[in-house]
Amino acid sequence: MIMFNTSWNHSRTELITQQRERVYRIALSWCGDHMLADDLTQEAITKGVVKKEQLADINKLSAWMFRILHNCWMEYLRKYRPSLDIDNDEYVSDREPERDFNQSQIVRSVRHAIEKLPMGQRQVITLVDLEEHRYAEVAEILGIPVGTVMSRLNRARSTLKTQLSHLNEAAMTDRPQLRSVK
Amino acid sequence: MNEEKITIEELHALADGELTAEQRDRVLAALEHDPKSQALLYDIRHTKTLLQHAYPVESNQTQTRSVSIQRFGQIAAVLLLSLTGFGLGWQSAITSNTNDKTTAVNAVLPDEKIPDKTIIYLGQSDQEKFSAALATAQNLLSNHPGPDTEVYVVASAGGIDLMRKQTSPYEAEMVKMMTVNKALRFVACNNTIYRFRQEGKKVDLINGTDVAPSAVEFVVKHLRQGWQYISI
Repeated sequence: MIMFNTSWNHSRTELITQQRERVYRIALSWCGDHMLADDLTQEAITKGVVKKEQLADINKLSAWMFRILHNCWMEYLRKYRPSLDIDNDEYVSDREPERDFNQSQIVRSVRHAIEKLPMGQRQVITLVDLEEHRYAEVAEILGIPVGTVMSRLNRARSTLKTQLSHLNEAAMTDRPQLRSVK
Repeated sequence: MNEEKITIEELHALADGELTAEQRDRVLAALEHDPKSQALLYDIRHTKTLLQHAYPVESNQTQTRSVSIQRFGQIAAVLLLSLTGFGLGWQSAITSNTNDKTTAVNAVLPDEKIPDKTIIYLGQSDQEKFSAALATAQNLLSNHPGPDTEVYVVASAGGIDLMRKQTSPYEAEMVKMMTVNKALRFVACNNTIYRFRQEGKKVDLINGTDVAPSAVEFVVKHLRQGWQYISI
């Protein structure tokens, strides 16, 4: 039994550390700063490994890891931005964002638009659109009602539609007509 | 003719795969006669695609090139350590409450840990944390004097200031500790060194300090092997 537990714990460690790239991507989309995202990722992965015995259902690993990341991020904001209202305020990184001049205009535009969203909306839309989490999972990760997830998602997409209209217009010239397929 | 209205919530739910098969069929049927909703659905899906394009999953190598010069937080284990008392001076802390702190460390670590091998992680440039890290290392070495004992003090971000000759207030003490305790290693993150030098900061490490390509990878590798972890 001891050997089984040890093996299981080691496999959980492996699975947790394999989440690193996805955790980093979400951290970057939340904080907009590569270095801070790296710190948040390390913090979340390390906490995940240390607390791995609390992960009862391996099928919930992804949501569990993003819950830990969310807690790390909230801890950071409480410490460094205690007055930030995540529902209404725009979060702007302290540091001058790194500019990768190899990035396309589209990437820069989208990231800039995401950074203009209030934090609550930013978290919801990235978890839904990047990680494809269900609304109920996002609610659990962020500790908010499903209705709040849906309203934040609606507001975020509405804002992004306006912010990214120039990108949409370029693509809309060949917009396909949607038809249901029987 | 289907006159059923489609709500914006239903369009979001359709794009996100949140509808049941029955709901999806109904919404899709209604969409055929609703160009305005078709356009809205297209916008939702287009935004989704743009986000995925803007935030690709990056490789480890790309990520670990940068390490922040600011770090925050401590892991739960550290919160239980109540190390604040060390701020008064790490030398005096070594002789006080040693057993209590070691017990607290052991109480929160995974079952399969290797009790004699510990990583102490330091991510902030903070003199109190420097002294706490050194005191904790000394406590562990004193309490586990066996041949298998190993203690690594790993620093990245601001924590690397402990190991820089330009900034460390404890250079002489660290050199002495390494001389006396062969089981003790100080490890600096090369990503941080790279970052500091990019920012024009001079980085001369205290003699005997090792360099790991990435503190993140180094810590995770040792956690996998069963090492204990303490974040200061």
